[in-house]
Amino acid sequence: MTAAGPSFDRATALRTAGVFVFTAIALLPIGATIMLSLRPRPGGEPALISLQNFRHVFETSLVLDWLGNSLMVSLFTVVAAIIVSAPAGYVISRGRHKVIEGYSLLLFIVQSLPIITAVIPLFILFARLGLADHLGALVIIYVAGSLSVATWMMAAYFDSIPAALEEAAWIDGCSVFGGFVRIVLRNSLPGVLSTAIFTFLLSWNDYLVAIVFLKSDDSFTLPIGLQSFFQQTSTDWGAVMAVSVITMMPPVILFALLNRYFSVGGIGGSLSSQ
Amino acid sequence: MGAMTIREARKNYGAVEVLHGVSLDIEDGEFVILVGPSGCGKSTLLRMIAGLESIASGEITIAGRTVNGLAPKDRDIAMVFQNYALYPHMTVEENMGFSLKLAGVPVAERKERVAAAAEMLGLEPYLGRHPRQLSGGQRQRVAMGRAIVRNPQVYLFDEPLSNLDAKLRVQMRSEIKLNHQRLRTTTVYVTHDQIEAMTMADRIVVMRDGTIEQIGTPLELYDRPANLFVAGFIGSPAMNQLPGRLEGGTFVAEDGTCIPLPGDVSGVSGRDVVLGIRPEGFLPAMEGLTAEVVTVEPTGSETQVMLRLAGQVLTAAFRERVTQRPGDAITLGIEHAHLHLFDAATGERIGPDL
Ligand SMILES: Nc1ncnc2c1ncn2[C@@H]1O[C@H](COP(=O)(O)OP(=O)(O)OP(=O)(O)O)[C@@H](O)[C@H]1O
Ligand SMILES: [Mg+2]
Repeated sequence: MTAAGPSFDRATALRTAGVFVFTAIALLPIGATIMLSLRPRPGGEPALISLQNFRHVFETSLVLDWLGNSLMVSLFTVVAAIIVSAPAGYVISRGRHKVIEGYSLLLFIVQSLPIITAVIPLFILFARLGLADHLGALVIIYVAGSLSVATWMMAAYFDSIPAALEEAAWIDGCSVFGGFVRIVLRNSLPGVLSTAIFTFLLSWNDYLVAIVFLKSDDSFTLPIGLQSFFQQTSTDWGAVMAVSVITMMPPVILFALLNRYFSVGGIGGSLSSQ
Repeated sequence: MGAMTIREARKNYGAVEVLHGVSLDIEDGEFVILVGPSGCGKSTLLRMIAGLESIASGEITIAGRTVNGLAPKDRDIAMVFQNYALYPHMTVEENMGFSLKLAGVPVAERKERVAAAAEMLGLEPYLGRHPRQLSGGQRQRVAMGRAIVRNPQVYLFDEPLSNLDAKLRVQMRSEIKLNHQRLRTTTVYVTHDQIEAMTMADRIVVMRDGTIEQIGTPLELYDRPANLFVAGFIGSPAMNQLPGRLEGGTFVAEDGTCIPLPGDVSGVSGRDVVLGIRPEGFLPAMEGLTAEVVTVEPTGSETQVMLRLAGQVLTAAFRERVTQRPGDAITLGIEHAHLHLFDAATGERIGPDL
């Protein structure tokens, strides 16, 4: 024990230092973005820190519309993905049938196909349906694209909920669906949140699908709106940085709010062995 | 009322059949215990009654109604799980009242019934707590309480006491028994503890490998085990089993030791048999068989002695104090009621009774 002490401490110190270095490297571009966004604009009033860039983008671009579009698309994507993936994941988690096992495997294979390979055919299809340049098209594609992983994530979480819990609920008078919602889903908040955040980030950060589908600038999502600041001859870097910061804010706020819910819940105390 | 019948019930998982046509009639108000070694299909049968497993073939009726196709919620049963399966997000009160809430029982009546069950189980101080804030024994009681408030046709228990320490187990055993005497609700109880079975059951069903070996009251199984398996399973310490032959009215062990048998066994003379002797069937005597004492284990109320007799080590349990020491010789009589004959090939009991 005493012999192991110092080397253990050294290992801990090394590890901590390593974590710091990597965190600093990861945060560097983000820090730079924030700093640049707070610089005064060329020709503006000189100051150390200023909100001139933000005022400029709010006044001269549709950034508020884009923010609204992005939020709308992500919200619908998350809600739809959870509504579909939760029951699907439950079936995969509990199902013993060969067909279900096959379906589960299929999801895994589908998941490995990049969505970009399907974007052009999808665009043609959606254009015929009058859904080109429509945010609904994005929601449909994001939900479809995230569904396999989302279903698999939900199934993995449901695996940790003992089947005896829902069986007790069935005997107490629940239907299969009732037991799923009132007992299993109710105790799966961390799993639902992980899945929600995964789908949220997928839709929030998407550029490739949106750039194909969205044409008019009032239907842009933030990543596409950001793109419009890159001009052929000159780029307004201050504005780009400001929009980038605006794009970053919702996920950061979301993580900060939801962080504590990841640790609560769980099934502590329901089984004899705990 | 809560009578139950099981007709030729079968169950298979894929190609493997785990229940091979089980039939059982349970009267209203009866306390029936399913016992058997691990993997014999006790839980499977119980879960088929509950509706948690499908019934491959055969029929199960509860209170005169065929329940094969019914969902668990429509069978009017309550079940206590081995691992309790309490709802983690609900308080004790909510756990116990959940079924009543689903049944649409008004809040006031719900509170009243939960309170009554809580009082019976000594759970009143814990009604506001969550399962994770309870000890193992308290959780077990909540699981019981959740079943009791229902007032169902049938209670099902799957090894409800196996996670408790020995003392608490004995206490809960008598509480369950008392509770049954009070409510007289039909109960099917699974355990692999034969003492639990003997002390609690009106009737015991001994199972092995997906079939029923014998059904009877605890004392019927003890006094007249139908085969060697039941003989070895019921009774503690277990019955001694001596292989040998019948010659006239005498049992001849493999090493030639003769044990005279009472009763008329001439009809089965010449057969290879196994003689079963309950440990408590041996009596210290002035004359009779002579055995060598191997170990002496006094427990206070009785003394267990390992004996070398007929080339085998047998267990004897004496009410009397034993003065012999290991290595000494001891003279034994055998009480006839504790002698049993079984066919060596089939393991089946051989009449006539000795
Ligand atoms: N889901 C399943 N899939 C395949 N086989 C199963 C399944 N559940 C149970 N079995 C098999 O069915 C048989 C009976 O199991 P069961 O759980 O009823 O035994 P048990 O008598 O309750 O045993 P224990 O005393 O250990 O609880 C066992 O051989 C088991 O391996
Ligand atoms: Mg079992």
